[in-house]
Amino acid sequence: MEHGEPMRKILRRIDDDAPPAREAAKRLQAEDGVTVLDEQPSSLLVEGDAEAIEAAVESIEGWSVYGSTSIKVPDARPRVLRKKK
Amino acid sequence: MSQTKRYVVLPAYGFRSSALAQMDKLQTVGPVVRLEMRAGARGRRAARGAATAMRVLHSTHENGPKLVEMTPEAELNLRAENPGLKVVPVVEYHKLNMQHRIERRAVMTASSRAAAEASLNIVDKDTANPLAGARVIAFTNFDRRVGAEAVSSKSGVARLKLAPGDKIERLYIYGPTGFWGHYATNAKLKSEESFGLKPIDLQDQGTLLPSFYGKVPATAGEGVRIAVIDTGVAERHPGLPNVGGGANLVFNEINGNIDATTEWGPARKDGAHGTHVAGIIGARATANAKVRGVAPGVELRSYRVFPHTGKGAQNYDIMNAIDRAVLDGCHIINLSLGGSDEDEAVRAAIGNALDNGVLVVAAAGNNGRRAVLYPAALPGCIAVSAMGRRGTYPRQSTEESDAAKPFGSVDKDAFIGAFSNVGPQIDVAGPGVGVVSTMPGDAYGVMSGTSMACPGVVGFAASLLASKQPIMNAGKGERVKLLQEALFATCRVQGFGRDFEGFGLPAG
Repeated sequence: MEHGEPMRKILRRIDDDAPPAREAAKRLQAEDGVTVLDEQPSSLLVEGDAEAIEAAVESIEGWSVYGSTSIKVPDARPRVLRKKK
Repeated sequence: MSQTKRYVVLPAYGFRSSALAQMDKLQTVGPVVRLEMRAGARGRRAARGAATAMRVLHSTHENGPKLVEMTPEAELNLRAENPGLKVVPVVEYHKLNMQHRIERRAVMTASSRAAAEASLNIVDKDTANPLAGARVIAFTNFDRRVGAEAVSSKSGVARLKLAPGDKIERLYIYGPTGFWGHYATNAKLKSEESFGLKPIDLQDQGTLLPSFYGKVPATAGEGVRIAVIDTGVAERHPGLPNVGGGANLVFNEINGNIDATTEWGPARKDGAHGTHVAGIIGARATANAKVRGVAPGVELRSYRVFPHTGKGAQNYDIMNAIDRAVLDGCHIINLSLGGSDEDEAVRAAIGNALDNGVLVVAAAGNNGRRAVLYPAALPGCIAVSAMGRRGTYPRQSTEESDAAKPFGSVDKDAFIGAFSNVGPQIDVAGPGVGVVSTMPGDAYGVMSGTSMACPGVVGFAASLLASKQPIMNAGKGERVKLLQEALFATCRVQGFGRDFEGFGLPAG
């Protein structure tokens, strides 16, 4: 199977009876092309092929997978979008 | 009487709610139902004798979401009565049209570059000393955001790549820390010109925050712990002795460097924001500065999610910061940040915080009357717009450009800042135009934004929580609902309109 560009994904434990983060991390590490970058009590940061990650998470009851995004420092000041010629 | 609109009524979290099932008046499809206001609710638009009239058009389940029809005033009334419910306007989705933006720097020859330059000398108005670090933005066409910008050097000179004689539609000079800015319209650019900036008077009680909250006691908020999830907070600012610690949650910094987790102070680049926010919530007056926050009695905790590089905050880090704040026993979380897309990861963490009795307050965003950003737009979050008041900043400072319609019906000098996002998700308005607060480097400065309005509301909510032990002692599932209800009950309608101010300004 050919993998796409590695992506970062967030996993979150959403059910109280879901396996703990340690166990979920172990199961993900066993997947080909998936790397667990960080482990928190209710969340994991993983990197790898998006489809592989999502497929792996489907087999772990009570965990959800989300995309990784970012937001800028807020600023109310107006900005120049186009330099005057 | 306003025209009726369609709304979806659903639980603040999840899809089913006993609250919906208990509202037996909502179960019958078809007839108009009337929900009477609770006695004793103060300051609400609805408290002026109105009742909530609505028509239930459809219900997916006895305790599931319902499609209803009612007026915007009735919607506000319903939310006041039922903080555990979310009332969302029915929206239509459309195809997205792409708009091009030109952000390319124009190519100039050496000779034209030399000719097309104007020098602005930025000085201290009182001493005439040159001021470094002032940011000058000159728009020749404001609507299209065409212009030039520069930052003043050590000698106070800002060189704009514009030709002398060019007509400047709007000139903004944002002062360095400790100074107000300068604003001018329709000016002709000279080859060299001086501008004096006024130093901020740290004894002045006529600025925005004390004009709204100056009478709140210095002990307000005692026993309440607040999480500031932001760019980090100054560790040893004399006005912030109540910063009790925190954590650096930026994964790219702490990965493989466990020592970095203690770096919850200001980010090295663009790191002043969090310290300013923290000061609005709980700064204490010192011998040299009467600048103080809304609830100086609180304990502040800093959770840094913006990296030292000045780049954006990752949702993974924000989610972990929210979780950490809950684990650390914070009562209220301040989120002066936002993005245009809903984020399920942050939403899940906020849901967990609310379930644990932690109030979450978020800034509506600064995109100029556009839709409320996430997470403010999420169910359960208190969404805050930014208001200002003429006379609380120098007449020619940059805040004047933010004074825009609608102006208040009670206070004609009050307005919702031109930058503030608005919409049906707005719950309350906070003070957010020309707010003086703490800055890194033991300094004080002025900032504007819904980022500043949000902590004002957080501070006020903290003072309420500290003064209402039954709410503090309530179970986790009840505390947020009770605190939201108490907060909304203190609001004073300013007359901007429902989508601009929600319940109004929390003012007691």
